Amino acid sequence: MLSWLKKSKQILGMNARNLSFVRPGNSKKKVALADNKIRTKKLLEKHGLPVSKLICAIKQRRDFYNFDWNGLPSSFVLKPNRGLGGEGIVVTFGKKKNNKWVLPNDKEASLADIRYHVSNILEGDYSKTSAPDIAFFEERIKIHPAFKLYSYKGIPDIRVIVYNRVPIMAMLRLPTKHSKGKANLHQGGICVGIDVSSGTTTYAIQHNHLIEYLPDIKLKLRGIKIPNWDEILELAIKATIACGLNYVGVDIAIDREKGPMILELNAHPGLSIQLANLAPLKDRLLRVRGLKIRTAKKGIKVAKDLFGGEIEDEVEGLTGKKILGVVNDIKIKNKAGEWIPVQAKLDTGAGITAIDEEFARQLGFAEAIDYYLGFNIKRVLTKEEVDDLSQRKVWQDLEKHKDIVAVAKIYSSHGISYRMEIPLLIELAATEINLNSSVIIREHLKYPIIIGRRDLKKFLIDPTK
Amino acid sequence: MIFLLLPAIVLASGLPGEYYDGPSMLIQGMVDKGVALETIYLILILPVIVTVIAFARQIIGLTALGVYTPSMIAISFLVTGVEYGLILFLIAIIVGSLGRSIARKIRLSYLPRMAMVLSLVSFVIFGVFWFSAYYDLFLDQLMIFPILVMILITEKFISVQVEQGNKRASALVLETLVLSVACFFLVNWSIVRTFILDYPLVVLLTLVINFIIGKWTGLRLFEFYRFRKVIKHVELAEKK
Repeated sequence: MLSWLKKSKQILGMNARNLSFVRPGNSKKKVALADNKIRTKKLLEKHGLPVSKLICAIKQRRDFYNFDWNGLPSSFVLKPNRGLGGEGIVVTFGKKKNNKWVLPNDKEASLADIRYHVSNILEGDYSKTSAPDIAFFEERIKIHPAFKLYSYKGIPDIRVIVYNRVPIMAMLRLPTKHSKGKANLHQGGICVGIDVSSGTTTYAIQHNHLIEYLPDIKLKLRGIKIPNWDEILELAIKATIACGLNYVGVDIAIDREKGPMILELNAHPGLSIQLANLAPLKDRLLRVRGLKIRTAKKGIKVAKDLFGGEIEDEVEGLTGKKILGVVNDIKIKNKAGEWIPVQAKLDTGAGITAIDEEFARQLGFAEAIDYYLGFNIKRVLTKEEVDDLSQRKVWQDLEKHKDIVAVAKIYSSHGISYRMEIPLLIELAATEINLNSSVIIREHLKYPIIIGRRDLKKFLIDPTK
Repeated sequence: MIFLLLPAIVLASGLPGEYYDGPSMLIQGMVDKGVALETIYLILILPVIVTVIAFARQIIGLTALGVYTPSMIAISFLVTGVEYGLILFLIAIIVGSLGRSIARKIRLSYLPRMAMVLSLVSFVIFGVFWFSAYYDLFLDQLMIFPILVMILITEKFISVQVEQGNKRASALVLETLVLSVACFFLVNWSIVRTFILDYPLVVLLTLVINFIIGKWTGLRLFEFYRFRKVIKHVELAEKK
């Protein structure tokens, strides 16, 4: 119980967020700026940061009557200037032949519908205290192909929490059928935590519950690689420098053609990001408090060093095993004693490591291979043929060559092969491993070496890496 | 300094009036001049109610619709009684949201639309009046003040509905209701009542309490629940 309380101290709650982080770092004037989407947009543009283009703002009734409604493009986003939590936003995807716009939920909107919505925004339907508001149209961001499968008729966005110019935590928000194409959490969207150092997704939540797959289509939410990740982090930091806020949530979407663009800034970013990342915010915030960070590059570096790969570290800490991806850059020592860099595939489906004949020759095993070829063993053998070879104790003769340390019988769907094994010293993930590798003759592998289970006992393989 | 002075002031306010065990001298004097004791109590209890609400928000995590709404409802309950008050409240909220969903279909500007919805609420409450008069129910509690409060709250509820969605608005209303009922029972408790009237300046203590609550940066009670999975996960990182 006592340790539980201690752990809970690392979580950022509403009180601490407001009193310890929002209030000291964010002056009232600058918070008001972040709450004003048009002013934020203009400020960011002035600083040369990418934002979606403003088509037109309707500030008052007079603008409403003078506005050239027929000049509206076939696709746009309509927003209230001081809207809260994504309410009051209308996205159109195109115009139909009947002159109506297509909405995300398979509905359509006529010009009268759009005008009515603008009118409601002006009246203050969606502003904090029902105070009159400004409505504006902006260009719709086009979805990046990396997210196409994952989002239901809307644009996913990425929220990065930046404190003291360091990106602290990030999440990807996916619109769902339930959220009517909007990515906001309380409207039923999905939040997926992102590992700050690698830009890969970790845990996912919907309606405050952990989920593993995208509902309906059973797509795994873990391990999505966010495109342009470093650029996103840099944009987030630059946006906070531009607006002068010290604790901000920056919302960024990725356009198919223009790349990452800043959607809006939030001076009171929500706390659920901790759930999506299953990681506490306060602990991270305290670690960067007081650091002097001057440039965005430095901020990214600090974040990656401090918060990167926490999940992997945890698994590694628990199992004592390193996590590796499927394809790794390794080094192999050739017979002359030089380290040769090469790409290796880790294959947990194979028992024994295998090396390509050509590559083995380059390493200096040509003589041994020629000796093996002298035995005229067929590449693929039947059971009887292998039994015959075993009975004649051919392996004893093969092993007479000093480079052939063993002979392996490899069973595959084509049949059985009788391969020679050579000793190798490799360096994989900064660990030197002595192993015996079978030599595959005349097959021209895509990767010159495939490392099998026998030599991977010290590692865990993460296929998403 | 002021914190040290407070208890002294509070105790001083407890000096008995003409009768040794009656309300304090201060209050006795006002009552003698013709101020209603009930009114004095309502004014004195308001700081207590808002402190309870502040506590519920900052320490427990009940959001409710601001401070003003639950305190108004709690005080209305004091006037109308809790059963009748709850009935009125529910009628106002239900008719309000029904009216809103109908009014949304007709295209009208915000204010006229809201005015129509609130009128609808008034008509329905008028119907309730008629019903109670006809069957001799709750007649003594039919007062205009609490009813006006209910109607005001309907507007607040509807604007939350527009801004934050149905689900959030309903949750907020439920929290508000729970809080109001809790405040009502606290305020209606005879021990509290006697104590406040005996030591009226006790209410100054709420300033101190609010100061402490306002400086509290720990997790709210509900946040422990909300982030329970994250808390559990912190454990893993520490095992290393």
